[in-house]
Amino acid sequence: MKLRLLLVFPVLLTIGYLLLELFFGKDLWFASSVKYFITFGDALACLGFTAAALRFKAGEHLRRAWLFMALCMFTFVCLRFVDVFTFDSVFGLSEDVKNAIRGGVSVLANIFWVVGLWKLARVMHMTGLGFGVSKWDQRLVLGLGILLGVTFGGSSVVTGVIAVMDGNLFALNWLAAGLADVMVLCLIAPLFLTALAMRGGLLVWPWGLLVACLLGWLFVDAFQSLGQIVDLDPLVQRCTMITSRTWACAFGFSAGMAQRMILGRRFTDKIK
Amino acid sequence: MQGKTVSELIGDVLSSYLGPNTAKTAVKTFSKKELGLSPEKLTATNVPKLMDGMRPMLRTLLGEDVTEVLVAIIQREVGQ
Repeated sequence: MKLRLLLVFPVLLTIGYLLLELFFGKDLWFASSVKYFITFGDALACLGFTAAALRFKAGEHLRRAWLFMALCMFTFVCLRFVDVFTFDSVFGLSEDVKNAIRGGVSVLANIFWVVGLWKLARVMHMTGLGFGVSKWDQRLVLGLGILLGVTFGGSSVVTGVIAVMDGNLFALNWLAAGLADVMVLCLIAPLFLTALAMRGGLLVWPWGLLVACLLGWLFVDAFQSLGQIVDLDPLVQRCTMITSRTWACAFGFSAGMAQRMILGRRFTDKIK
Repeated sequence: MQGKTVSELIGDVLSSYLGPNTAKTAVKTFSKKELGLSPEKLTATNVPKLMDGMRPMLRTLLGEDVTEVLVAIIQREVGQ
């Protein structure tokens, strides 16, 4: 598999989903199938992150980082399977209990995601190399990341806090997602700087694709925030959010696969 | 690779993974830190100690297996 294919694949998958939305978006069968598409995306990202983690040895920093990312997506996949196949048909749980379970699992998944990205974002600091740009450029990019985080994730945090205080347990889900979004969007900056530092080398592939993945999540949050401000048509909101989500998950898969590929023998043999 | 200095040879090998800018920074940072030398003054005899200093950095980014491959290539290139 060529590295360039890992760049093309997420774009094609996103366009594919967008076309499905355009042609069948109003059909009832499509609306009820969207959850399966989301689960497919999460599973794909989980696969990529796991593949990347397993390329490293036990105890290595990046193994743990990629594993946390994989655990996050795995948790979401499990949640959706449980949601789809058991909540309504087997256990007959009340809506409140279901919401509490969804909220709790979502909190756990978001913790995994933030820890994984935090570990990835710390890599250049750990190596002692820095980002290779001036302090002012670093501050500018980090500031921009924080601004994006607060702008697009902040509204979910406020909404979540208000809803939890009103006793809505499912709002724990929004609150955890909102807090994670703020932190994750802030972490785009160091990951972008890492990708920039690696330009011209093989490592630019996993880091660059990971930044593209996070930009997808940024758009998910942006459209979610926009939906709270502007009265968006539910179909348009679903289309924009799931398209962005597809982009994010597919680029996550590509990032993990790129990390695995460049550390494989095919590339080390070329250098020899 | 004839006519190149030791630091350039090391930089060339590292740049395949790290890119030319970070590879150059790595050679500069670790030759200063480990040997107290500027990159231009590096000789083949300094390379083993330099590689010992660089290993943790390379392991963090590339894992143990690729690190050892790169270290072996560098040592071969500089004639160690």
